[in-house]
Amino acid sequence: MSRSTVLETVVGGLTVVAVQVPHFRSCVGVLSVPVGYGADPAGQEGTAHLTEHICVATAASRERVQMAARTEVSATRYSARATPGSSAALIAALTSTLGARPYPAELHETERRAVLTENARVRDQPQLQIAPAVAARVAPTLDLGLRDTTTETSIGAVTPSDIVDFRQRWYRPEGSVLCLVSPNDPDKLIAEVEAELAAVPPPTDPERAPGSRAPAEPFDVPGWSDCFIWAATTPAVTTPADLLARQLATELLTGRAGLLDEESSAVGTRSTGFATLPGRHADLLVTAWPSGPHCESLADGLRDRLPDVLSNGGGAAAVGRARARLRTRIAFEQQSPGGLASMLVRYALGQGAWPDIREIDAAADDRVVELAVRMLREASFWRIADSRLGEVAV
Amino acid sequence: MVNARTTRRRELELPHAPALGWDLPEGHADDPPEAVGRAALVARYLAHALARDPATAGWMRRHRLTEHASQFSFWSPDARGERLAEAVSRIDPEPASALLQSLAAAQLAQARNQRANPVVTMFRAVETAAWGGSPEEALGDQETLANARGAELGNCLRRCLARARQIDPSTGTAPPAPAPDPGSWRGEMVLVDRPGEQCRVVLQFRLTEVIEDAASAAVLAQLLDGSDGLLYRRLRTEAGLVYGTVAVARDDGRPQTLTIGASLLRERLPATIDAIRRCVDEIDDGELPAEALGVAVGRVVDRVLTKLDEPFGALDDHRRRLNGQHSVAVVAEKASAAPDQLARVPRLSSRHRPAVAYIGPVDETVPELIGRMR
Repeated sequence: MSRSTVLETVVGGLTVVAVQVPHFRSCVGVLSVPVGYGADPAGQEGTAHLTEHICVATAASRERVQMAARTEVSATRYSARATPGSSAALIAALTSTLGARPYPAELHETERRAVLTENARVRDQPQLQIAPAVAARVAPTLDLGLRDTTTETSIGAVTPSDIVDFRQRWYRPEGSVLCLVSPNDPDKLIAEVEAELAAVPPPTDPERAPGSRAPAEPFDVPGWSDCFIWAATTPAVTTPADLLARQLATELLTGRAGLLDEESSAVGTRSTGFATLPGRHADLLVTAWPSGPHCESLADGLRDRLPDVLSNGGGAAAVGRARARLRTRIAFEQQSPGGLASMLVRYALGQGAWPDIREIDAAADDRVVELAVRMLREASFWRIADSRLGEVAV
Repeated sequence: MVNARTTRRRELELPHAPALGWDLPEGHADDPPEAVGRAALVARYLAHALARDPATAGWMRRHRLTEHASQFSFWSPDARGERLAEAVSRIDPEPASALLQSLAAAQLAQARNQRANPVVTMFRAVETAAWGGSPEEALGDQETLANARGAELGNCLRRCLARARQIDPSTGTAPPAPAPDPGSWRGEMVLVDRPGEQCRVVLQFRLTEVIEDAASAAVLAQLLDGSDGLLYRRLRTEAGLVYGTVAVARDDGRPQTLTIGASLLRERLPATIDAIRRCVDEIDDGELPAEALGVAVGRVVDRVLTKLDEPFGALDDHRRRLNGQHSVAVVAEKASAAPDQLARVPRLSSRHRPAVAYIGPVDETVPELIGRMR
């Protein structure tokens, strides 16, 4: 074990978590901004994604930092890495995305085309559409059910001044989270953040309107062959103990060699894919199997038999195994700066437990089982047949 | 200054343990033609057995199947060589037929998923164009996997178990790996028809004769790669032709190559091909910009450090050294001299024709268009 120092603070409204891990040789930062494509204005779908592209293209000190970004439904995450000697450049690159800044018109056009090409690339891969298609049916009114519906027309309606307005409204230190993992002194890193944030232009429009998207439209998965799907939403919880219990319940069910895997083996099949769609307060878990006669037994097992077994005292051993798996998985992710930074972002956003593997025993078995049973009982079953998605009554 | 605001300071205990390797001496190129997929199936069975053995259950695992090796990497806070040896000693060399059937079905599903992944297809296609063979066959098909499950599988398993070796970077033990097969350059063109999909074009250049060391090739790739690389600037920022670009230098002990590619919409293919050609000419004929080279060197160093920080980073680096390659730390050190090296030698031109691959809708105009890049 090695001991690292973690500093949590708020600098100019920005929540900052800085960790010093002496044996790391690189520096990683992740900035989460609390807006995603779910907040795209109607008729201007693509605004959030285009903003992400513009922010990366215009970030400060880019020549010394490697940056990547991803627009999710309710958050946009920027990650950057650099050598420890370039930590100030890394902080400058990430914090320069905050605030509204003008940019050249030709960049707008280039990145608009890039967003369209990227979306076309995702559409070309039907397997990437399975989880969003299920989400749109399972949670049409929740953020995680929304789909990025950018079209050439909608993104064509977004102007550079719309992007500046969007950043003005959403890209602020308040509500954003920055996690820094490096071998450097965390006090020094936080001082660097403070210096950089002084350059963020203050908002001229203090109003932050909530997202006003219409409920998700159902859609199918063209080009995908038959499969059977289990979909469950993780319970929305808030306390640290419950966050850990939810993490364990998810591991118990969907982790490798977890209960879904065991049920699959019991009926002679094996899942072909697993996806987690992140939402602001809850995630959607989706697992798929090839269609076949085993699916009915599988659904019976997952809907009825397994919750009964768990509720009647049969869960303790399985929870014990899930704890061991989760402990190893967390420890493994913490071996790299990027893995540790992602974990700390989830923690700072209130979506994940404090990532100390010594605390994994803090969640009570009963609570883990209770949450797992709730997920099993509330799960729904779906089938894609000839590209069409439909719910399966169990 | 920091203490003036509300700051919470606490300790976080992080497990810090080295990864452990276990390498078997047969890869997919050792599969008999009628039983293609056997090495992958053997690996799948071994992973299954080790995941269920009490000594190794719960260990994080990564597996890589190369032409002539099957490499397992394990990580766990309590991963030890003795425990791995104990679990290996309990592996049944005669797996049950039902288990093999189930593992083969999962392998076929993986093969299907890989075929559906355009990026995997792109890299496979260009490797085939460059070196021949078809790496896609590494997982086999229904027929060859049925053959692979036969009696010979047990012999293969016993052979592999007898010659497998543990790789422990903390002790430095393990004999050197056999030299990789340098292969024979073909420089051909491969077209993969994917109707209705966005297209990808990719070229591979053989650099061995002009750029001797991995560091220079890595810096050249970095000069082209990334969102401020030359390729990206020319094709996306300035011309707005493509979505993504890629530039990768091979660094596995085999002849040095540079692979460049782009993903784009079909209607932009002719203009993109012209732009790629101009970009290659620019590297060959022009002066490489000193400032950009300096940035590329910094990024290579950064990538190396990041790689070493990955959970299997030190183990991978140890394997490199067993393979007769420099440690990535040495590559990073040498990268600082790369700009001088690159300034002295011709770059992409050599007597080898580049290998070219195209993935996307193929119509009658595509072969001629793609052929222009050679």
